[in-house]
Amino acid sequence: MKVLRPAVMADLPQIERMAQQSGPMVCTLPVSRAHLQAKISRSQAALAAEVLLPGEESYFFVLEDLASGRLQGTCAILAQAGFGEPFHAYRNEVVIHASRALGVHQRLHSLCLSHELSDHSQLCSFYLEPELRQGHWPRLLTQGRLLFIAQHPERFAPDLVAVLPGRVDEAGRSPFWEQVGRRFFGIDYHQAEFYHGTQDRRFIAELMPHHPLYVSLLAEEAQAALGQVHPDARLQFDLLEADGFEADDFVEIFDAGPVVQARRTTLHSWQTSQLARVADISPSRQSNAPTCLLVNQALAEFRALLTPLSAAPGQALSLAPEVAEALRLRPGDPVRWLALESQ
Amino acid sequence: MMIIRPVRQQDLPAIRQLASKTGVGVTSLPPDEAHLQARIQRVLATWADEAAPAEQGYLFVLEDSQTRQVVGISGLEAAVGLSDPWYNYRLGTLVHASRDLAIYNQMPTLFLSNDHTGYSELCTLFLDPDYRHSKNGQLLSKCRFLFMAAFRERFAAKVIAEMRGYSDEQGKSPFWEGLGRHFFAIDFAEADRLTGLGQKAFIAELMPKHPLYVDFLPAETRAILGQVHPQTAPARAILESEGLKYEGYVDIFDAGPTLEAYVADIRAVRDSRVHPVQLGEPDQSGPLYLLANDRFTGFRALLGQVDFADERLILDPATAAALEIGPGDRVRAVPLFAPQSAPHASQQAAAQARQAATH
Repeated sequence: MKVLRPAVMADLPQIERMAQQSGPMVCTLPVSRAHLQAKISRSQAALAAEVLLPGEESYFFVLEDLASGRLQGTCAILAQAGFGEPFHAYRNEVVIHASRALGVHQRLHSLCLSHELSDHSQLCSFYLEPELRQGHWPRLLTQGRLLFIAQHPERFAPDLVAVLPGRVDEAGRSPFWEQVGRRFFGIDYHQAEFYHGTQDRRFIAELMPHHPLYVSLLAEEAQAALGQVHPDARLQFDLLEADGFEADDFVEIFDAGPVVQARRTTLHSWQTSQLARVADISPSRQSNAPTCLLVNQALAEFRALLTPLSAAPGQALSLAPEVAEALRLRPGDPVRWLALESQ
Repeated sequence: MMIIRPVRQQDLPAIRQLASKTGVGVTSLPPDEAHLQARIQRVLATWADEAAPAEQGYLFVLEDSQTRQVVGISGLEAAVGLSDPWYNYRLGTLVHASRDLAIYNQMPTLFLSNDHTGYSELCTLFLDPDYRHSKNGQLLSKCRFLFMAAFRERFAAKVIAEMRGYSDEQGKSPFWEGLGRHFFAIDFAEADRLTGLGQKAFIAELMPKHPLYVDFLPAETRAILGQVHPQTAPARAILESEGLKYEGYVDIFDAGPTLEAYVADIRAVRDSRVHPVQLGEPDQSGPLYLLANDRFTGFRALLGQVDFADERLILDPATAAALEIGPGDRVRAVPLFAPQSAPHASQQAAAQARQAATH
C-alpha cells in the first residue's frame, strides 16, 4: 500500500534522491539540499499554522510505499503561485488588424509577459518513479492534491494553475529557449531553470522581454513548441486536462510548455468527489469494487491512498482495517472519496 | 541654363513622364495622374496662401531654359503628420541585465513612433537620368534650403528627409520580407504604391504597435536597417554634407533612414546671405554659388558664378535675368559647397560620414 502524505524532515535524503532522478525538468524540485530542506520546513509550518486566507504557505507531499518505506513520488501546492514575487507566464493574445479598404484581415498572435496568475494556487513539483507512471498512481498525486484543496478550501485560491515542462530536442535543448530566452539571458536553458527553481524571481523581471513578442516573427521551431508538453509530462497534462484544466491562455516563459489553469469549483474531482463518514472498519470484501481515491480531513496527518471501495453518494463507508490505519481513521471520522473508474 | 521655379499646372504631363521613370521606392512620386494633379493643386493652394497648415507643401521643378523642358522635381512639406499620423520606427536599445546572475544584454529594439509629427519634410527628389550632370542634382536638392531660409516662418524648427531604403534588383525589400509581410497579405510594391497614394497612415494602422526586438528579425533584415538604396546614396550624401543626420529613425516599410536637422543648423540655411545685386562680369574661376531671388510665388534659384564688391553681389546679366531681378534687387547666395573644402573633398567627407553612420 502506498500513501500520499506531507513530507517530514526525515524524508530529506530520499527527496534528494528523487530530485536527482527527476532531472532539471522539474524546476520546483532542484538538486539543492538547502532548498529542499527549506521546502519541507515551510510545508511543516504551513500545516501547523492556522490559515484563513491563502498566502505564503506551501504544502509538500511525498508518496510512500508503506511496506518498504521507500518514497516514490513528490508533489506540492503553493497557496499563491506568486506570493511576494510575481508568477510569470506568457499570455496568448490575439489582435485583429483589419482594414476593409485595403482588404486586409490579419490575426496577430503575440505573447505578453503576464503576472495575472500570481494569486492562483499552483500545483507543482510533480515527480513519480517511472514504474509507477501506469495505472492510477499518477492520479493519487494529482487528484490527491485536488482533494486536499477541497478539504481545506480556505487555504487556497479559487483558481488553480500548473506549469508543465515544454518540448525539448534529443540534446535536451528547448527550441523556444534557444530562439527566445537565450537572446535575453545569454545562458543555457537548464541553467535558467535552475535559477528559476532556486533564486528569487527578480531576475525574470530584469531579463524577460517587457514588450509582447509577435509570434509570427519567431523562428518556426519556436512557434511549433508553443504550448507543447514534454512527452514525460504528457500523462500529468492529460490528467489535469481531463479533470477540467485548460491550456489555451498561457505558456511557460522559458520553454513555452503549457500553463494550465482552472477554477477549482469547475473541476471534475471537485464536483464529483463525495464527503462521507466512516461507518465501520471490517476486513475487506471489496477487492472487486472500483478503485477510489480516499483522503482524510487532517492537515499534518493528511493521508491519501487508492483502494477498491464500494461507495455511493450520501452513504457512510465501510473500510478495511489496513486502509483505516493508513489513513488514521476511526469510525465516525469524515473522509472524502473520488471514484476513479468513471473518469 | 538650369532654373528652379515653383511647379505650374501645365507641368503635369512632364511630371507624369518623370514619375514613370522612377522605380519602386520613390513613394511620393507615383505615376498616377489623379494623385499628381491633386498634389499640384495642393502646392498651388499653398503658394496662393489658401492651404491649411496640415496641407501646406511645395513642389519645385528644374527647367532647362533653352528647351523649356521640365527635367527634375523636388518637394517640401511644411509639417508632416498633422492630419494623418506620421510613423517611423526608432531604433533604440533596451538593456536586460541581472546583477545577481551577472548577465548584461543590450537588445536593439524598434519602437513605432510619431516623433516627427509637425516637422517639415524634404521629399520627392527626382532628376531625369539624362540630366544627372553639371551639379543639377545639387541644385535640385539644395534650392529648398534657400527657400526655407527665405521663409523660415513657414517651416518647423526641424526638418526631416526619408531616404529610400534598400531593395534588391527584383524590387524586394528585405525589411518588408522580414517584418511587414508578416502583418500583411500584400507585397512590398503594392504597399509602396498605396503609400504613394497617401494611404501610408492607413497601412501603418495595420503595423505592429508593440516594440520589436531586432534580434528576432532575420539576419538579412537586420543588416539593412537604416541603409539607403544604392541609387539614393548620392541624395543622402548631399543632405549629410549640409548637416542632416541619421538619428536612428527608419521607415516602417523599407527601413530606409530618416535624416534630420534643425533648419537653422543646415549649412546652406545658416551661411546663406542676402545681398544687393550689381550687374557685371564676375570672375568665372571662383566657387559655384547657389542663388535665389527670395520671392515667394516667383521663387527662382540657380547655380552661378559671382563676385563681391563690398556687400554687393556682382552677377552677369543673363543670370540676373534668369532670376528675374534687376539692379538693386536682392539675392540670397551661399556657396554650393562648404567653402573650406573643394567639391570632391566634401563628397569624400560625406561618404565617410555615411560609412560611419552605417557601422
